[in-house]
Amino acid sequence: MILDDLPVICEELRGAGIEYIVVGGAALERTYPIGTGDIDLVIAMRDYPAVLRKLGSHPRVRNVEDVGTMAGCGFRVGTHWTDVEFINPKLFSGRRPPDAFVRYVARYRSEETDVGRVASPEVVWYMRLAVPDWVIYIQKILRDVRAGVPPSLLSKALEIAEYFGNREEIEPRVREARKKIEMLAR
Amino acid sequence: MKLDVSLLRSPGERALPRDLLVRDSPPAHRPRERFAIRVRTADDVERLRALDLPLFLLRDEDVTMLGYPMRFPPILVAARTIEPALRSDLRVLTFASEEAARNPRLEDIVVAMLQFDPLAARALLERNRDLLDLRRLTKRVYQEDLEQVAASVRFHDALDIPATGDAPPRESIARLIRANSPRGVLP
Repeated sequence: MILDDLPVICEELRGAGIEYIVVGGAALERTYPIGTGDIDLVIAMRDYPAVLRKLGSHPRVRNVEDVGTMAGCGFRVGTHWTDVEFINPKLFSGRRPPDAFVRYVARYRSEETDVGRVASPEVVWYMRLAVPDWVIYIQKILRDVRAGVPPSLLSKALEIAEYFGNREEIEPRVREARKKIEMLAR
Repeated sequence: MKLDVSLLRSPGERALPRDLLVRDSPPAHRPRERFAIRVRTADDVERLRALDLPLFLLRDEDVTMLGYPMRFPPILVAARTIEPALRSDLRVLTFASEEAARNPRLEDIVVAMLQFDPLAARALLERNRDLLDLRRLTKRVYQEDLEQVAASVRFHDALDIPATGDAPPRESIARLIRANSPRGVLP
């Protein structure tokens, strides 16, 4: 269902001049059947205020709520509403400027598709492990593994951390994720 | 390391049936050194695990990682067989199953939580049904003799264990669990 909504929403966003990269479960869903229920998009920090303004006046968007690190809203697709979250990159850029994360993902860790740029799976896991409350996202990583996402992606997530200078912070989190994956696989 | 078990005479005991309780002394001049297991930190646990000892550390983070945010001091979970040799200020829970203490799986976190906080265990069951091996969890509940505790938080809703009459209604458990949901900065 999310994969059905994604082209509609992305077309509207492109029409409104909003640049984005698909991340989160929707990015994984294109390859692995993880069963995500919403759409997460990362947008450049420099575009963030303007995107919120555009969303606020968009006829198919309701309940725009900005919580600083991201803004959530409901997006009308046909007769139903889908949750769409616009994430700003400041939590993920490590020691680099916020928009370096968007540029890096666009250039090295994504592919151009019919719905626009979609992040590679390792970006999704890196994002989950880079946030301060990463602990609660381990469960999502376990679910992804159950759905067929290879645990080896954790090494790629570490490569991303290396680029952003936060490997030291992310490495113990990756170790924890590996331990839990082991417990799942035994 | 291997576990060595021997019996010691209690202070009041005099005559022992010598045909049943035979002297088990180490060979003369070659006394074997005896070790206790001292656990002070999480790192100690990792090092002891590397020696293949059947124990692991249960942390609040482990429970939070499975979708039920909690805060509690680390708990040492050890096979019951090695409990007499443990020297630790940490709270200790024991497992009848050595294998589960040596190589814990997700179900074993639920089983340990049943001994420490049954409601949290119920929340873990509810929030990880797709990740847990329910048949193994059932087996583990029986193995650790925890059927009654499990039934007290209605594990019988999901597992094949007998219900008890005094289990609280499903709705009241659900309400309590709902009150503690993880909320993160990412959707």
